[in-house]
Amino acid sequence: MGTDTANVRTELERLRDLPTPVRSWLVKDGVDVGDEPAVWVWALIEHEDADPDEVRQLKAIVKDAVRKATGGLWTYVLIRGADEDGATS
Amino acid sequence: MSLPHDLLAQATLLAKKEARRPKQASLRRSVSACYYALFHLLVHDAVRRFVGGNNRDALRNCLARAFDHIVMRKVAQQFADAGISPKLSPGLNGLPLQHEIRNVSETFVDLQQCRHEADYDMGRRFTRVEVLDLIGNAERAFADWREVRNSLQADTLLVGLLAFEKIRT
Repeated sequence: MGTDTANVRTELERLRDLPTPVRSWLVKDGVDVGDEPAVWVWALIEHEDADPDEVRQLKAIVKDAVRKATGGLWTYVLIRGADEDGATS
Repeated sequence: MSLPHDLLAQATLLAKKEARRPKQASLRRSVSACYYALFHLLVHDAVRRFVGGNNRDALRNCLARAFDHIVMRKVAQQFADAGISPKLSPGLNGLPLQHEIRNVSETFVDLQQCRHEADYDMGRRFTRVEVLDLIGNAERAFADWREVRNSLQADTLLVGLLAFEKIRT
C-alpha cells in the first residue's frame, strides 16, 4: 500500500508512559471502505478490564502518533486483550 | 426504547452471548448492530428535524431511505478532522466544532469500517474485548450526541449527512 508499517510500529514502540500497559502491537495497512489508504493498529493491552477512560486516552495517543508518522492517514485503533487472541470459535 | 437504543443493547447482548469462547457470528452481528445503532440515531434525528409535525411518519421513513452510507462517511470524516468542506462550512456561522460532534463523527467512521469488515471480510477475526470496546465507543457517541444534538453544528452535520453530494458551491 505504500505505508511504512515497520516505521509505524517503531513509532508505537517508542511511546512511553501509556495510560494502560500495552504488551504488543499489530499494524496493518490497506484500503478502507471509503476506498482510501488507511492504517489499522491493534493494541494488545495487558489488562482486559482496563479503565475505559484510560483506554480512550491510549487510543487518542496512538491515533495521533500514527497519523503524524503517516502524513495524516486515517487510523483505526482497536483494542484486544493480550491473552485473548484466538479465544473465539 | 427506540430502535437505536435497542440495537445498542442488542450489540452488548451478542458480544456477551457465549460465556467462554464467543462465536465469530455473535461478535460480527454485534459489530453490525453497533454501527446501525449510531446510523439510525443520526438518521432518526435528521428526519425528525427536517420533517416535523404529526402524521408525517411515512414521509420521514421515505426521507430516511435517502441517506447514503458512503456520503455519510465522507461527511463524518470531515467533521472528525474539523476540515469541513466549503460546501457546508458557511452553515456553521463561524462556530467551532464541539469535541462531542467530532467524537460522534469519528466513531461513525470507525464503526462503519468495522461493520464492513464484520459483514464481508471472512478473514477478519474479532475478539470480545475488541467488540466491547467498539460498543463503549458507540455508547460514548450516544452520550456526546445527547449533549450537542440541538446545536447549529449538529444541524450542519445532519444536513451534510443527507445532502452533501447535492450541495453546490
